[in-house]
Amino acid sequence: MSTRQGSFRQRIAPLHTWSGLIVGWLMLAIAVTGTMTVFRPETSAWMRPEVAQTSPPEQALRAAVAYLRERAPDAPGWYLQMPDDRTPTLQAVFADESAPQGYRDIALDPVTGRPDSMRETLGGEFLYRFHFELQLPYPWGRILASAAGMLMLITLVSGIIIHRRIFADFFTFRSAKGQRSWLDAHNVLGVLALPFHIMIAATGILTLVTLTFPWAGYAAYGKDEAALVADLYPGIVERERAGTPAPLADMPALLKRAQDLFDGAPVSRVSIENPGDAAATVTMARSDAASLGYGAEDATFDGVTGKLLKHYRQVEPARTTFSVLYGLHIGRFAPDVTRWLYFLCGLALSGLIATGLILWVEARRKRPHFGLAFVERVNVGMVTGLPLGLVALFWANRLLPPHMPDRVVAEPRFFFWAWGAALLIALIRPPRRAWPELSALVALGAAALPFLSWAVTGRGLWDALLAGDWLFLGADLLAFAFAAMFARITIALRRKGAPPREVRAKREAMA
Amino acid sequence: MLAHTARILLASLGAYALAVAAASLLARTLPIARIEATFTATMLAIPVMVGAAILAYGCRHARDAALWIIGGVLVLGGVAWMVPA
Repeated sequence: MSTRQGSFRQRIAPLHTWSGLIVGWLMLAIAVTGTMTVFRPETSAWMRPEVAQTSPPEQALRAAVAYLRERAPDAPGWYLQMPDDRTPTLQAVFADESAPQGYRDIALDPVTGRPDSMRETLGGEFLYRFHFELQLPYPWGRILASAAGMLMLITLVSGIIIHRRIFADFFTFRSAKGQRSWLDAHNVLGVLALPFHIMIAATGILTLVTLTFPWAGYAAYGKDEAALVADLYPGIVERERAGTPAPLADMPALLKRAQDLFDGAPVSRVSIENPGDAAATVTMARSDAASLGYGAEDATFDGVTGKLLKHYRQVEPARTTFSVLYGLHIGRFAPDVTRWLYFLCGLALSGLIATGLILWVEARRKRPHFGLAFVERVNVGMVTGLPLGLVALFWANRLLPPHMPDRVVAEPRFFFWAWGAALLIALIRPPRRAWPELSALVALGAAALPFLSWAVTGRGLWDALLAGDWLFLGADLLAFAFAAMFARITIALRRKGAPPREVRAKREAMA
Repeated sequence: MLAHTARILLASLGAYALAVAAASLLARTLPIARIEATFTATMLAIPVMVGAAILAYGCRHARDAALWIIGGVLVLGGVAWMVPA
């Protein structure tokens, strides 16, 4: 009774099919937002078109600290992401009880150090956060995303096992053959970027492993949790708040000293603990834009006297392996070409998941039932709803009044509303209608985006071309490329939804 | 039905438990610094969990899968328990 017939490969097949379905919808959302996150700094910059100026890091840091001193003097810490050649603005995170999530994550102008010169937006931070927090409260979103990542990895490995002719299928695509074509597309997308898919799923799990899998640490350290924390974060200097106020040391000077310690490499993050207190500390992290590993070196100074308290440089082999795997996931090291490869592989992964979901339905068409109809309709809503949500997010960014109250949370709402609306339409309309209708909507929305942006910001495609403004040029061209892709899908699906050729010929003959 | 449920539980909870047992044992026994052993064991836990999930479905009988996975948890976890932290 508990025997499963057939070969090893056949026994693994249900694992692939069912883990794929369970995780498919969630993973599609994670893959799409993750793919967008490859261009997180660029997305942020595009979403803040007012910022035209940059300033040297010392000046940006000085201005930001001056602003934070008046805005959040009592916050336990200020966490700053420094501007670089991809991001003109400085990003600041600090605790704030009046904020919806208990903390603020705001962009600061690199010249004035203030947020008010630009529209209030989370920029690329929203999609980045959604990618692993799924808009759920801590820690549930992260746990769910990790579980999805593990199911994804299991689906990939079992997919390789059940795949008979992995190399031959690389060159096989039989178009317009229904289920066979979906399978071919699924295989090509899967095999083409297979090392990427496995790498991104496995390293994605690793990024959240301190939350989801603390057991090795507990086993090795037992009850000595303080030692575990100290060993895990060797660069950190813990200090109790003294309670006596003291002015912060000169930030640009500390920045300069940190850069000297890092052989001249730029600083990417500045963490100021207990600002304004006698026990203040300032930790500067070396930028990982030019190295594979994540968080490989930092320096901590006394926040008042400026004395160097600790200089940590990663040398341990296992930790370095971990940080390189982590760095591979976030891909910040990637130069332009590699970054585009990450983006394209992310698209391939999204396509792999989407075709897998469609294939699940196609393979069961012969025996229709309620569950199948439901899966098919949700598939339509997810595959078209996510891009529609992105289009709505970018439209909202351009159209909402720049300083309306709670704009930061209003923008992402359009992402969820559009996604939800697509799901609703997909549930109500028959799939052969909903597919082309929603695809057409995505195509129109994406195609209109560059014109809308031009009308609002005055920075059109032509000006971007003349000015060599790669950011706006790239965004506009990408919007057109997606519009073309969804227009192509619409046309293909409309043809498919039309009555078969023989019927049409008969009708025409009779007319 | 029972076999189906068993395989699902083995591939999820069982696989996670096996990863915990294997990682705990490695973290305590690897002859390197504690923090290095922790990182190594944590990274290796991922392929262990994937392998266990494959095993849960790859075995001809759900009973065999249960034997391997639950047995593995007990043996690895038991040894890890006995080794001092």
